[in-house]
Amino acid sequence: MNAGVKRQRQNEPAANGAAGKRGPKAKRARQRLLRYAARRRFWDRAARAVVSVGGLGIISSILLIFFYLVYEVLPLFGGADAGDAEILPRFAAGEVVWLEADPGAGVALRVDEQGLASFYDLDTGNLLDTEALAAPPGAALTAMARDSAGSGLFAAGFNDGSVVVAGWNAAPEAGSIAPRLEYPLGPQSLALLDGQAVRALGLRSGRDAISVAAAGDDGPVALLEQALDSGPLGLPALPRTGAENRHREFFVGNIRPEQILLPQDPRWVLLLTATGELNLLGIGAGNQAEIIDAAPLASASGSLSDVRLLAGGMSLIAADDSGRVTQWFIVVEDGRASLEPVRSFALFGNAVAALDVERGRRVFAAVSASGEIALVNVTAETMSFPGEWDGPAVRTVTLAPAGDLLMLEDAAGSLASWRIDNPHPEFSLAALWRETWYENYPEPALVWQTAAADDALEPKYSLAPLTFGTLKAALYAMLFAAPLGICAAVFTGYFMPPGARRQIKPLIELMEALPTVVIGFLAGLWLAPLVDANLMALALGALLLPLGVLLASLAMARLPERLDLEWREGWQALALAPVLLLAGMLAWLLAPGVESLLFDGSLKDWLLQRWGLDYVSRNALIVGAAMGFAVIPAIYSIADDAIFTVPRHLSNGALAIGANRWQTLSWLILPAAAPGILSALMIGFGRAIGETMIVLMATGNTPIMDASLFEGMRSLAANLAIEIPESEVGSSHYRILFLASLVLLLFTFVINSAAELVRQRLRRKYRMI
Amino acid sequence: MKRSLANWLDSGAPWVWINAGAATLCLAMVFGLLLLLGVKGLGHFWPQPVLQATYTGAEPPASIIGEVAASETIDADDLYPATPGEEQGEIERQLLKLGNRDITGGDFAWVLTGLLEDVSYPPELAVIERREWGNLYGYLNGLRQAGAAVLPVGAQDGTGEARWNELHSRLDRARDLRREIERIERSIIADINFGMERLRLEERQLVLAGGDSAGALRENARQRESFDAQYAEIRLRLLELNRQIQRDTALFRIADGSTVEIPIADIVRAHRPNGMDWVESTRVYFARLIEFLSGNPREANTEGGLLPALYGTAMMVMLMSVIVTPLGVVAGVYLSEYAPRGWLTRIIRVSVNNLAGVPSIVYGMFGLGFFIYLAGGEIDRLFYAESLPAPTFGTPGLLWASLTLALLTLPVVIVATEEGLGNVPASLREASLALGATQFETLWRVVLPLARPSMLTGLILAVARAAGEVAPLMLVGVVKLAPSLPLDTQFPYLHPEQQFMHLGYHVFDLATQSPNVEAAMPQAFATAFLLVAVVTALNLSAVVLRGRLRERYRAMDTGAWA
Repeated sequence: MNAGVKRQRQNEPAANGAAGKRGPKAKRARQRLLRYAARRRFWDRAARAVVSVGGLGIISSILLIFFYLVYEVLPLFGGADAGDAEILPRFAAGEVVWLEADPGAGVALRVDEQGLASFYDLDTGNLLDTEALAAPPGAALTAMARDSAGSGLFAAGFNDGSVVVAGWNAAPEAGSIAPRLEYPLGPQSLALLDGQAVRALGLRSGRDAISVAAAGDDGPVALLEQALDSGPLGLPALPRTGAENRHREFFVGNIRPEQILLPQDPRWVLLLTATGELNLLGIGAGNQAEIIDAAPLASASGSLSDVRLLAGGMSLIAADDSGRVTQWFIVVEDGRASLEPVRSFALFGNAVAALDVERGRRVFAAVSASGEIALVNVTAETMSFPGEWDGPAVRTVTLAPAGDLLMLEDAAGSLASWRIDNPHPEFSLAALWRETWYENYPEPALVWQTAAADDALEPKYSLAPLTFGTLKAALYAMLFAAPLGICAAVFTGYFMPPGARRQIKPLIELMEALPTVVIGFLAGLWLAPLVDANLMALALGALLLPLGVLLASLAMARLPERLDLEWREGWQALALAPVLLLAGMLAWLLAPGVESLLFDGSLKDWLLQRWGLDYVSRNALIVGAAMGFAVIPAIYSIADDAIFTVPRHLSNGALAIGANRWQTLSWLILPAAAPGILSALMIGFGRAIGETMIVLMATGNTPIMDASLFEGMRSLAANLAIEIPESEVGSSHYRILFLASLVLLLFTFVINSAAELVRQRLRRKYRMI
Repeated sequence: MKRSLANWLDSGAPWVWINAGAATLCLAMVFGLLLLLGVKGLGHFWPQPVLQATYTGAEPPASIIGEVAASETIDADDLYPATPGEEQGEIERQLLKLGNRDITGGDFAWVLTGLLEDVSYPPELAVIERREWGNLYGYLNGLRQAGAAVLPVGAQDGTGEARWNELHSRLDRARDLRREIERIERSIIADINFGMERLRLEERQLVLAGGDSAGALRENARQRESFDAQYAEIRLRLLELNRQIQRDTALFRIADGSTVEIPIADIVRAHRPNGMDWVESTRVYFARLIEFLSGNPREANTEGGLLPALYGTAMMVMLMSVIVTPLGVVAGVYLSEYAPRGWLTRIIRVSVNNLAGVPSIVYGMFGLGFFIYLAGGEIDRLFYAESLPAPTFGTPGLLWASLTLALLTLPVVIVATEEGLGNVPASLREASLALGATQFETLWRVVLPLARPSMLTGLILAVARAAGEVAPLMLVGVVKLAPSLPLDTQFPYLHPEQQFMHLGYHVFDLATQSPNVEAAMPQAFATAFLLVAVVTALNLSAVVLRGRLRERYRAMDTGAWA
């Protein structure tokens, strides 16, 4: 029809052509007309173009949300990347015993067996400086140990039984690269063992003490604790002047430790023997100590190649020459500590040559005898193999504190380094859902705990408790909202006269407009204490309200016939208001009596004793009621439409052949409207899943997995509101939160689309009838 | 009997009644909620009687003064510590607002009603609302001017009405002085600060740009000196005013018999509720209501007004409307008039529809990540390099909040526009086209004017949704207490990068983040009521508008309108 108009318009000038010959005036008029028509055509086309481009642009910008969320989430799925190997020229002659790198300052440290520290420029490979470790005169270096707390300190033990604690500062003054060694306890050595060569050494630094443990060829294990004064803000701590060093010695029988590990918990010392047996030494308050547990770290087939404490100092990893790395915990259960293998990674086909750990994350690097490099996060069990070293066998490897650089030295003395890009090792899709055994937990569990404040705490990313909380809240809300919403819809959609329905429906739909923050506020601060104090009355009310309605109905049926006829069908709603009020008051009045009669005076105590149900004030019952309240209008509105739009002649036909109204409803209308009601439920459920403020305000927001009606929960949406403001932009935590919001978006989008599809099909069906 | 019961069950009547009960319950919940909010929210401003009593539950028995904030009956076993009297079973207790937080430490206490003795309501008992530390309850005992006692002229002993009236006249004086101080602080000092900050940024810009800037820097230094001189002068004036306002103090005898002295400048309002008739009570009621609507919050938002929150909400909603209306209308017109009919358009339509059902927190995440960190960070790098690292647009603010909510409400406007366009009777379009109008002319002259009310409905619904939405705003711009309004007298007058306060967030903040929950509750109820009233009014007007429109179209379609 549009095209027809256009054609007609184009014909206009031609039709006028004959008349146009009359004179210049008419010609001008005709030209003006033509110009006018052209202008109109131009505007028409311009408007079409502008609106089409604008409209599509706007719509696609809404869809941008989806793509943006995906864009934020995608980096999580990338593994670790290593750049090309950079080979550093070799300057020092002695054999390497210690290697460290600080890519932030661009400096690497290498200590050889003579105790000579060499500093390299990581970018150019140049030797910057060399400095001898402050050793007692004439003593030779016999052992070195890394700080298990990840401070960057290390300890060096000498053959005269003394120990030096050292650290290094890559850039002592801003702007200059003049690395040097530093000694937090002073350059003088600490005499730990009495003239015996230090064979095994352990170091742990804390905020207020540095502990060093050492053992010789025989005799006791010596443990020295030096108290520290916390230094001025941002500066290293200083040894406390005048404070007594606490020097203790523990006899450990015939155990000859080859390596000592000091876990973060000062109660334990781990002693590793040459045979690969790990002994757990428990230290009491005084000088007494005993071996509590012992476990062979190496498997029967292979022998041990390297052992390290992981970041945080709460678990250790042991590599053996079958290419396997195993993580061990000290698990305390019922007051008994034991060493437990937690998980094991079969990384290589041949032996593991060297290991090192990151200082913040639970990530370690392993290099195999044939030069393959692996980066592993133990918590998420993510493994990636970013590179390979094809030189001679690797002697030692080091990971920079933040894990952004890996450096190794091979048997020929070549130094090679890789820039590592490993932003999200703590994420894996499987780890989001499966039970994970975390540090300090007696068994595997599903936990969401992201304490970004403390590096020592292992972040626990399990979406399971949050998903559980979301579904629990939504299901309890549906339990409350579905019956009420659908029953109300049945009544107004079928039994109520259309005139009355037009008045009532907007009022119920008004519930939808109420800000959820207000509902959450009332639920958390008004309803929760009210229910807490009157649980019995509530339970009784749930029983008495329907009972009262039924009684009212019975009473109506027993009324004389004449009165009943005058009763206008559909206005029961008004008559029921006083009945409901009465039933509510009755429940209130009866509650104390019933409670003392049946439940020993307290329903809550009875629930706890009889069923073990603990009552938390802000619980699923409150959330269910409040969110149900918010969801009712969504369910009601769509269900009412579905019932109301069932063609009237169907119902009239049924009534004409003698069915009563209830039979018509239950056998005809409800089946016909069932898809619509289903779609109403789906939309309601979708809304309950994504609701934030009510869950945030009406629960305690603890991410627990407990289906009890009287316990709280934390939902995905509420979790977003709580955690995203504190999350570091671009971190794994940040991206996992975006993943959660993407899940929410997709879930609600799919459920709403399905509901819409059902409704459209229904509409087509009705049109055919 | 049995027969009739079976009949009754067969007839399905009980089920019908159960359904009716559900509908009634739904309605009852809506009205109950509105009623609860109304009573609690509006009742809070009515002056409550203040009781004086001796509480024998304390050891030794203490004299107390306070308002009853709540009362309940609880089981004696649940009390902790155990009841002072050996009572058993259900007992009644009351939550008393005792005030005087600065003196006693806490301003609320639960007391057992049965242990209150000698309860009286003395008419001269005064309630003093203060700028800090909440209410003070006590008897006006004296007035001092610059430390010397004041006896009102004409009063023999300086008690009673005369003293009370003198207090009020001095209150008026303090109020005028405070207005003057606020005017100076708000306008003049703010102007100077703004000028100084501008100078600092200009200098940084010059340094960043490099090159020869000695002349400009000298000019800046000269301006700075003039600002400094202005500031010194204003400071002297402020000092003088502050000295004057601190001149008067009032003495009150409080519950424990001691006398406290407070500066009159700290008093917001003083009244004696026990002695007031309903006219006076009404006056106090409206004074409080007006303060609530037009004052600034005090005491961590638990007292005073919520003007900044009202203002912030309105600004955000307006900015959002300006963004969402053209976008929504263009998209709606496209979908309804220009989009090709086909499966793709159908999918787009369903998608747009469904976006309205996506959780609002997801929009908040998008706003935070995309608008603030991505777009805002980029804007800062390009245009506000001189104030980095302090972010200008790369931080939550009014503009981002409005944009986020515009996105959130866009589907509402699009759907309403489309619906409105679709409902315009086809006969009108056909008539217009038949007269030779182009498609655009038909749209512009005939269809859009007719569909305007339904677009307005869409906008109203969008505004109502935006006004009540909190979850996304928590991420993209609202704060507990904004230091300044986003629209003021400082160039460029509108500050879209500033954070703002919002009614809904105000409720959240009072309910969950307040250090003094009992003190915050009445204010939370009042704020919630205001929010609900605004949103409900908006929604009802949309419903009414839509109803009218439907009638009109029906009339048009049948030709009755001619």
